[in-house]
Amino acid sequence: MSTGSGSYGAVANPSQGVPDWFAKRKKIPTNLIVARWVPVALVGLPVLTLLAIVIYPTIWMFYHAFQDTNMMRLFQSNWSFVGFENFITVLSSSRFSDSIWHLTLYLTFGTGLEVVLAVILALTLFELVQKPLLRTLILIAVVLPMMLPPSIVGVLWKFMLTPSNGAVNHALLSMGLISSPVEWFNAGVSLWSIIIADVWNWTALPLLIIYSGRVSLPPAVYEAAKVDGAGGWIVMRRITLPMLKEVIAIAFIVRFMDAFKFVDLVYVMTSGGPAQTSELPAYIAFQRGIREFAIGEAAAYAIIIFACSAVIITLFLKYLKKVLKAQAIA
Amino acid sequence: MATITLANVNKIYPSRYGDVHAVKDFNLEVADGEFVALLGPSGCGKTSTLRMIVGLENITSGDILFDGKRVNDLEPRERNVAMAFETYALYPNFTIAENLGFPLEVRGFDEAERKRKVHRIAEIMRLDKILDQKPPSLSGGEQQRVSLGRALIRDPDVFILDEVMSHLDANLKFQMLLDLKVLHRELGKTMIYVTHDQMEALALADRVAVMDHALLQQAGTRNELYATPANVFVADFIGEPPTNFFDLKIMREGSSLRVVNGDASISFTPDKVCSAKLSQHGQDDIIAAIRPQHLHLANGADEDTLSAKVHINEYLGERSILTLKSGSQLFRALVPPHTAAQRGETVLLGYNPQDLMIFDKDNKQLIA
Repeated sequence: MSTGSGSYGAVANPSQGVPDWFAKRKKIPTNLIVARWVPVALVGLPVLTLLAIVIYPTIWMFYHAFQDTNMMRLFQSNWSFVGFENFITVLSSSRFSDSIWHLTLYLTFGTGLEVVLAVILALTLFELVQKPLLRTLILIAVVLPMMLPPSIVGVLWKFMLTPSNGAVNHALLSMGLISSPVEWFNAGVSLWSIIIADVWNWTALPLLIIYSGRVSLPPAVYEAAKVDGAGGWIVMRRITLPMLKEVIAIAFIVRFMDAFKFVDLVYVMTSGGPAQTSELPAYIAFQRGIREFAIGEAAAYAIIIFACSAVIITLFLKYLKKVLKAQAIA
Repeated sequence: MATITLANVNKIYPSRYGDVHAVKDFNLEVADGEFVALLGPSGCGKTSTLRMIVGLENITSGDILFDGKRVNDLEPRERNVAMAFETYALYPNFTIAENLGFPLEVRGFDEAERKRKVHRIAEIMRLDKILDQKPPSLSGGEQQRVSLGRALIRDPDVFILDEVMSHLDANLKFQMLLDLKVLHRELGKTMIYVTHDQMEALALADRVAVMDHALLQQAGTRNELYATPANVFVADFIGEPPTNFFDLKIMREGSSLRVVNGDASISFTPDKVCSAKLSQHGQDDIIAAIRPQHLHLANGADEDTLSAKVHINEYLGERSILTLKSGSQLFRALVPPHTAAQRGETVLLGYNPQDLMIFDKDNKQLIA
């Protein structure tokens, strides 16, 4: 009876003390088998799914990082153990070290710019736009790019940045800012094209996080500052930004983690080219494994990326925890 | 140093469901160095009034004058007012020293001067041991002292204190009352204190302004409010335990006059002044009120008495409250502790006719 199936007829007048609609509701027939197995199924299916699509592939990846697996050997099932050879190949390749440099550029000017822009836009929106309806409309407009699938964003920006007759070059030329079309997809420029598209696509996410952080700051503190005589700039520099520090850090971490698995725009816009000048680590892992069939090496790539991001993010969280503790919040 | 004048001040908050008239035709003069409390129940408009004085809220109509100078359009910082908030509103990311020094920092005081003043204020407010801590790690009382210290440090003309004790426990409250009283005496600044607690208001203020339903009901010293409340609301709101009210009729017996209820079980004899006013009153129905403090067990010397049955006898340590019943009317009397009155026992209560308050039944205003 403890499984909860025994409610039938147990109460003399079940309609007593409950709302009318509740007493008259359609009753779902239950029996012992359903009552016993529904909870198991509800918990079990998600766990099985998780096992199948996360845990199994992860273990599989760790295993093959130490094998000389490629697509051919995989189908013939005759791969063999090679120790750290895959890791050595990856770490000693210039393709990898180049991609780390690209990642650094992307983190600084892509992710970094996104967070800085997000701070500026979120605080400007909060301070300048007071009408609730207008605020909502602006927020929706700002968030729209984020709602588009990255593949669409990639195609969109590829069109806009087309050197011969793309919208961006056309606009820059007619404004007289450049005298000849910019070759957006040449070596050395293509990475910046990706960064531009990515900033357009993803600035809204840190913006939303920081905006909601600003909304939740206590208004009384701002009134106190007003009475104390602090002007807008001092309030921003001494009160708002320090109080938003943790929120900004979290917004940055979210985008930072994305950077390590950033594949979609690279794939759609440049495919890492020309001559691998716009490749990022995650993209190489994808390229080596899926398109060049070097599965063992791709797994090694993935593990290295995972290790790097794990170390950096752990340090970040430690710092965050220290800050929060200093303020006696956590 | 400043006198504050509020002349016909109105505050209307527009809202989708119709305008909310939060403060109606508020008139009050606060003298230089005076300590005035704004007292009223929640939502009576006292905080709106206060925020208009500080400059955090626009004034819908009317004028606020500081020393005769209109300040309606001045920013808070230009009015030279300091405010302590109900929620303390400390800057959570600053240390206590930084919190205290912030008003000076904003005004461009140099580091050494700031440090000197912070230490002096910290000494006055007994904060010198926690200057390096941050607000979230302090107790409520300490936070409130920081908030007061921050208000004090820049030597403002006017202090505004918004329900600063509502989050403190009883012991801290008494300590804080004392601190505030001493501060006011030493500084001699104009202070306006908002509270819903009559004990705080009466203990601190030179004058108390009682508000209800957006209107100023009465402003006066505690004696005025206590002895001659302007209307039923003030009589009810001021005083603990609450005032007894009786719906009575005027009975004229030749030259003398009494107020009695339907079955004559309750009957009061007003004093001469009151009787004279009542005899000219056009209406027979009135509301009589007498405070529990003014009813005592009759000792034979009383001319005027009232008999009632004891309903409940509450012993509260330094005193006892008798809840009495006469007919269907319940009322209270404050008696010495250990009064041996059993439930159901009939007691005779004496009163001084001067303590009787009579109000108009329709407009609830004091007649005498």
